[in-house]
Amino acid sequence: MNKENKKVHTPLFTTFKRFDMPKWQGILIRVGAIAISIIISLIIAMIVCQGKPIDIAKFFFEGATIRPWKLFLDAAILLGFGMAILPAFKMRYWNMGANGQVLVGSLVSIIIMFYLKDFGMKSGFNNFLLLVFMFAGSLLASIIWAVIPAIFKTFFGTNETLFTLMMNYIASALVAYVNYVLAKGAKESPGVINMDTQTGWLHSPINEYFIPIVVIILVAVFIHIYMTKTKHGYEAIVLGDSINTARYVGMNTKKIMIRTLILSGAICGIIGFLFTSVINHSINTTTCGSLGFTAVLIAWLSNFNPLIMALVSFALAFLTLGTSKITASYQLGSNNLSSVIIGLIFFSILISEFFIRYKVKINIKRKEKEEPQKVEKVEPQEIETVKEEVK
Amino acid sequence: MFASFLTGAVAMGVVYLFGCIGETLIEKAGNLNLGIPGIMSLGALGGAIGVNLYFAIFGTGDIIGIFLMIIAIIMSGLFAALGGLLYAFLTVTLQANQNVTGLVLTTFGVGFMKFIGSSMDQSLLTRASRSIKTLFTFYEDLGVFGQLFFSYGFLVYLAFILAITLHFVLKKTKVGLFLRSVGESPQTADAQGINVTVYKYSAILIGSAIAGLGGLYYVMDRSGGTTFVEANIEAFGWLSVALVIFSMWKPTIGMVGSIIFGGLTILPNYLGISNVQLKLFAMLPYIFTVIVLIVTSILDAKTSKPPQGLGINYFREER
Repeated sequence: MNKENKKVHTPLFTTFKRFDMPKWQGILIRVGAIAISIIISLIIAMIVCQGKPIDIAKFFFEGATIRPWKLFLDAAILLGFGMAILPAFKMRYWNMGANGQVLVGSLVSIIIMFYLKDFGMKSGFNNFLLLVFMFAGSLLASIIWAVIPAIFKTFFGTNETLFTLMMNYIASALVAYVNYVLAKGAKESPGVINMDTQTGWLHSPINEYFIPIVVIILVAVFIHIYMTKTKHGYEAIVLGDSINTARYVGMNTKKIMIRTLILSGAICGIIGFLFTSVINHSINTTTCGSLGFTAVLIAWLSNFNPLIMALVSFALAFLTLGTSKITASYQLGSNNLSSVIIGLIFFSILISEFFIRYKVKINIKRKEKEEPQKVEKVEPQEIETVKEEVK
Repeated sequence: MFASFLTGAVAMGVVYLFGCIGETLIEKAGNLNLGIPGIMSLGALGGAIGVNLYFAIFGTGDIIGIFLMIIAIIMSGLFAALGGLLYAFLTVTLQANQNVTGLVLTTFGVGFMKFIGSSMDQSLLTRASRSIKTLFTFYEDLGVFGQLFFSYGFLVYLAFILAITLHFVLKKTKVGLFLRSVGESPQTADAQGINVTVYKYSAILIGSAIAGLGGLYYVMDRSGGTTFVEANIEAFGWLSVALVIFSMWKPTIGMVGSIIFGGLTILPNYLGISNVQLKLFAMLPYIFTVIVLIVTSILDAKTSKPPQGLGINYFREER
């Protein structure tokens, strides 16, 4: 190519990496992005519902705050899912299977609860034993579900993203099948198990939301300590940062990976047990909704910080309850407005991340070039097919 | 019986084939798009809006199939490509993490389809579906042969044509060579004077539009326009992504693979089993996918490797 004839092209935008942004500014940008996306979502809601903005806002806040315990429970469950996937994600292990892991855990404890009903009814102690069995079953099932993909990942490098996703659908088919079997083929689902005797139900003080919330807060604290203060957590982080470094310093990477996934599975098992024994006493394929996915996004975009994850979980639970009230009030038939809003919020957070990490500068007709070491990246429409450095 | 099973397998497999071709094109440019389920949902929604648009323009009288098809395809491709544009902007221009962006797109796309779709008139879709389900009306005269090859709607043939076209573009043309080099090593491609950004954007936009047709095909043709909101497009999207791995990034193998995946999806209906067992056998395609994932990773053959730059954003200044 003829260098002399090639005009030096100065891009309209240049982006620099930022190092100096104060923390509050970053938070402000993120909050601003979230606010903008919520406004956009409410405008969409307004158009679809054809209602007054005041009404929509009213329904939104009413729906979110009318049952504060439910709000806290939803937030806690979302946080629980986040905590289940956090250790694995720190290792750069994309566990998309939290849904499936929780489902099988819950399913196994449902089965135990259903078939050991007579045993549990005999005495208070037997009921306690039944709960222990249910807990153990749930824990074991979830751990197995989480560890299977991990084993193949460690030994053969199998793609864990798709593997865990498929495990979700397999779990979901199992749930549909077992529900049919428990209902003796008469209906799709047996509904609430042991409705009459309440055998295998864990009675929570204050109300049914109390135990799950407390347990998940404890789990979150535990995971935080595990990741920041223990050797195990540290090893997982090193593995995620650089697997070669981990190998070089003599860590057993296979052991670490499987151990961490056992922990992930165990947390899913705890949530599954809570679903069965305290919250639902029943199971269906949509028990987990898309919590597993949402939790992945929360964990990633909170930078794996448990406190931020808790706040974001709370905000999303607030949103989901609020929007479900909107859709119910306007009889929209499906509560997917929340997924739309959650999608928009995460899109805007992703966009805002760019502005936090980079500084964009508009170039107005300049002859001299930028200092090369500071140029981070260039807007696409302005990239020349060949960019020659002309000295 | 077997002929009807095979026909069903092809018809079901086309949903996956569209997704697979689209994702293959995107992955060849080095981007792992986990937003395919969302993009397919957007395509389905766009197609449904296209159908409504058609009836708004031409009235609800006799359906002119070709116009209906064109409008539906354009709208479906447009919606899906818009989803793709968002993904491309975030991952190529703003350097966002590809997996996370894809997942957000899936959450958004699936939710958006169900949210808007729930307030849509289903009867129009059902009517439209009936008019496009068969392209060649003479197939019944040809017996089994006709059923196997000529009993489908236009989109089925389009899917296979696209797969073969993509194969030739990737293997035989300069554009294909450049695209593959962008996916393998954007640094090298850039040094060669290939505009990495343009290639990535084009591949993602076109790939998304194609994947979106999978959603359109499912709601309009395969399901007969009846199960729009309940449509399990999300699962089909994931299976499409898995099919890409099964096909070893080759559209020709993808065509065969799609029929296998389609066959496994509809197989339980042909086994003569009870409703209860049907629920259990619904996991067949997923189990098969798991086996495929495991076997391909164990074999670790040289030919089955993904593009080397897959999933990694290209920072131009990090050369």
